[in-house]
Amino acid sequence: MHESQTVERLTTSLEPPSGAPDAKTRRYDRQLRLWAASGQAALRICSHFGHFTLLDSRKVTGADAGNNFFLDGLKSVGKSRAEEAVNGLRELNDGVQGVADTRDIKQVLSSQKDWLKTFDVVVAHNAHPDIIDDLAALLWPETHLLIESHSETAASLRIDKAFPALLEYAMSLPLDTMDITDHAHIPYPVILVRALEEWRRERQQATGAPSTSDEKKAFKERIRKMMRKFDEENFEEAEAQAWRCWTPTVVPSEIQQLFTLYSSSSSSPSSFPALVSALSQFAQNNPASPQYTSGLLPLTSGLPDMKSSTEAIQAEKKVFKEYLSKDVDDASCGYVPQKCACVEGSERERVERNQPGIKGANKLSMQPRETATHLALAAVRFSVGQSARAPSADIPTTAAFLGGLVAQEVIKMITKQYVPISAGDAASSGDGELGVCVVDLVETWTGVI
Amino acid sequence: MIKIWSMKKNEDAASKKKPKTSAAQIRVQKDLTELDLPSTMKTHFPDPTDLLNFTLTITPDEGMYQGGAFNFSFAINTNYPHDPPKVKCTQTIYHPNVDLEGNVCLNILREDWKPVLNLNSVMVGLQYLFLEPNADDPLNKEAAQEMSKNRDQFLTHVKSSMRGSNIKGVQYTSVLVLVIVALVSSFRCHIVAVSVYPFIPSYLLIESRIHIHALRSCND
Amino acid sequence: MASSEDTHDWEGRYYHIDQILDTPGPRTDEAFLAGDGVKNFLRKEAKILVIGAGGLGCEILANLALTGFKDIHVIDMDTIDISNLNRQFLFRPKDVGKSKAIVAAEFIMNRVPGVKVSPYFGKIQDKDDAYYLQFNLVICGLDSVEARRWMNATLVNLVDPENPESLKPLIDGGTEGFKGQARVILPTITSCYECSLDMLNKPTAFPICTIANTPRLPEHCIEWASVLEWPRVHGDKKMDTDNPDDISWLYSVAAARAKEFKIEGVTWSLTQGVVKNIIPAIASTNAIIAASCCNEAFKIATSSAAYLNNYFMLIGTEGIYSYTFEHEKRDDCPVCGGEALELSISPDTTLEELIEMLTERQDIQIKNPSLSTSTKQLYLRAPPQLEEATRPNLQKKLPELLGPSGGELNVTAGTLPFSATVIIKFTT
Repeated sequence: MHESQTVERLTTSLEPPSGAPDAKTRRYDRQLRLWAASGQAALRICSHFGHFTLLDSRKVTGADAGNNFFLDGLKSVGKSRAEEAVNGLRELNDGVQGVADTRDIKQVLSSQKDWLKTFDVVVAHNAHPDIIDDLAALLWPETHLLIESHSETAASLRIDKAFPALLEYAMSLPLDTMDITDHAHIPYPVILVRALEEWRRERQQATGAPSTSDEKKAFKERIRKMMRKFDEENFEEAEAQAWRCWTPTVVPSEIQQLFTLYSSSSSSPSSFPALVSALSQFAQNNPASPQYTSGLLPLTSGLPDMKSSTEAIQAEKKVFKEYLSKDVDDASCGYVPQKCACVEGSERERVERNQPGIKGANKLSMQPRETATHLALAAVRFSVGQSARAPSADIPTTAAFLGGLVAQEVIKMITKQYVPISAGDAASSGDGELGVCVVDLVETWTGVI
Repeated sequence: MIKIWSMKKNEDAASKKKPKTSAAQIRVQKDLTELDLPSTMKTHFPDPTDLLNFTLTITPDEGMYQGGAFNFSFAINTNYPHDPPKVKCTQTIYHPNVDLEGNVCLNILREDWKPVLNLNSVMVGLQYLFLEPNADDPLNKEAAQEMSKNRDQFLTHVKSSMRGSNIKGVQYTSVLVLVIVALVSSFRCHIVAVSVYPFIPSYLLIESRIHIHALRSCND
Repeated sequence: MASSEDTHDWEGRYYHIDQILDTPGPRTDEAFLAGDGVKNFLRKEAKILVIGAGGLGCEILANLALTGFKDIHVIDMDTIDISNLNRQFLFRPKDVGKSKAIVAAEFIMNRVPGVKVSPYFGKIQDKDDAYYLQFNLVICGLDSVEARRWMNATLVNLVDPENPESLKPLIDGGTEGFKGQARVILPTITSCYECSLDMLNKPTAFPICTIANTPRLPEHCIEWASVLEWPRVHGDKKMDTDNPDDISWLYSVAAARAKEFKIEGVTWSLTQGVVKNIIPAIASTNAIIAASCCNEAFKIATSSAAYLNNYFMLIGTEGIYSYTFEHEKRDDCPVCGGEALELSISPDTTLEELIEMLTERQDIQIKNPSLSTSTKQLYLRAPPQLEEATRPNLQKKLPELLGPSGGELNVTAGTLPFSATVIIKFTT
């Protein structure tokens, strides 16, 4: 049989275990699956993970030694807290460089501010509110940029503004006469494009989509009638995704904000502003879809999985990809060089691949203390929640809980992936302001204010 | 200490405890004893004390697979019903949704399995495959193509595969139910026909293995 | 200095913890014995069991040791793999291949003086009820549904109404990437792990026909290699997903398949991830969930504050979102649901007579029951073959079936939500 031959050929010609990852990749395997090589590179480049400095001017007390897993018990008491902890931490991972610094933060803030600015991330904890304020004012950058939000919302397929090649492909399919199995494997975006275009032609209009609920119902019925058998799942999928026809493809508000932010971006060490600017120009003057002129971003490269045959999806991907690369070339080659001669390839790719997920977190407009560093401080206070009972208790589980939360936020900031804490509901992070997290570990809940 | 504890320890509490029954085991007991199967489906337990491994025989009484007896093995693991039962066809059959290795394409056996489903739903789902084979979700691609492109040829293949023919180099398992029609009058009983199912009215159909046994004694 | 006479304790060691233990707070339970009472219990009597010495387990052990638990036991059947080192901070490259439980226990004892950690390198199933009865509470940091179900069922079954000590609070933690959950289970009192089994995300499975004929994703090619090709080529030989050679074989087969269908993205790492169903894991999420679990253990063991009722979910992918709620106990839960009935009957009673007695009872609706013990079926109504096989038992007397001292029966019936337990004792 054909298949067994394939495998026989395969198994006999197998090379010794190939493609297996190296030791370093294996060590970080479980996190690489979350943020991939780009995130890991960011962690390594940044000082926190490739290199960290622990600033602490105090000596280890008995209470510290009982409370901190990285101090060496009684042996550490009386020694420098920074040095003892760095010893304990350094031993965790020899690929990371740790430095102890015994200066006082007040002294650093008054005379060596620039030194603080050399770090990618500064985490302050249990510090006096004045110090937090000073740090925040000094360090908080204008914008935190997020390139890969890993958003679970679907990418735009631009059904309502189909590019010409896709439209042509959709209209060319002989729906009534084609093979019934092929019919059951037409990818749903193609069905939607076809149905919408037919709907428009009947009305002799070039744009528009069903808008009233009756029209929408009738449109879904139209898709249902296109089935040639009662259980064609791809048509069921199309019916379920019909909302894409009447959801106009526009530039998301978060990206619109970035456009405003970078409209006059001049010189910048990062290529990101140049890319945003290029995107902006592309959106204003999309040369590839002249009939719809403005308001569109380049297509994203990822197609969601859908019921279809390999051939049909291959055909669709090909149409999509050719268009995508045209879009991308227009967006990057067309505009970027004018702004910035040197755009790093991989970053360009990331921006283009993820542009619907790009979010900007603007400079905090309320008070500077509402920073990620404040997250830890506020939470310690609320967590104990019983300040009269334990005015200065810093219990290990609460500390570990907060440490974990802060570490999650730091990772999100450094990798520029996932969405950091923001004010209000986690889902409505559109206002881009960072928030304060409160933690109650009596009844065990967290909240963001 | 939270209140549910008293400070005092009771040292010998452990001794009387019996080894417990797993949730999977009780769930299988429940599923099996509450099966509601039509006469076209029968379970068989090679070891009646082992509820986790058994076979199911489906003898469709209509459709293109009428007359066949199709065997499936069920293997249930201790993580049931979190994990679905593992079901395989133990014969080589010509069916668009069953491959030559016995793998079965049935959504509730994989992607759509959930713990609220039970063995009854799986069995009914399997029978449905014989009443309504689905050419759009093929596992045996050639059979599926034949079914959608040349239905007459497909039916011919189904019938001959069920007789145990060799089609395009594949030897199929004979799955036909052997039936012996016995005419019973007051004192005598004699066998008048040995035949295959489609020609015999279904009310005469009894379990095939009994009749194979009868057939042997007849030859003697 | 605390009242403890432990020679390892030093001035101020429990400065932070003792602030909580010396004074009741506004929401503290009445039973809280502020001061020496609670400290002595925590540091001298409490015995705690940690299941799993992996990502969560390492953090849990460190937290418990710092909180003041001094008699800690840990079970883990795994050995240390290089991919553990990014987050299981008690392990170093030199430990690769050694028992997680043993290495973790040694590390904790070295770092936190005066704490005794007793490791067991093996399966939770190796231990009997007497073993589990010695602990005050159990914390699970596991990555397997099956092990959690076993541990949960074991602790539920351990509960003996006549012995309050038999009720062991179970604290269960779990993480996946930036998400995690912690919960408190009071066996037979609150919702148990089995009650919430249908809340679990099931691993992504693809339709087998898609895998066989219309692959579109790299995962489809990998499943083709593992689900269809492996058994076809290797027959009954079991795939060992921990063996790099097996993964390499699958990778090569999947890669060839992908090439044939012009699908991009099949890598060695993805292959391993798909066949092992690897759940991404990071240290920070483990730290949060482990801290939450240990915090509950501390509050429950000391009664120093209210405890979680009963489910805490954390989602860190978009901001910090968490949800705390009470998961409801289910009447039809196969483990903690259903009635338990104790019957004292004559040793002359036959199984058939017992079934009649059960059917006639008004307090529990049993019609057409099927009965079994943990080791054998006594009487099954259906299917016909099993009814036939178990029918002879109907005439037997119960001691013949259960042994002279009686025992527990599992009763299922269409009229019951799930099952009932009947405990038979013989009158003499």
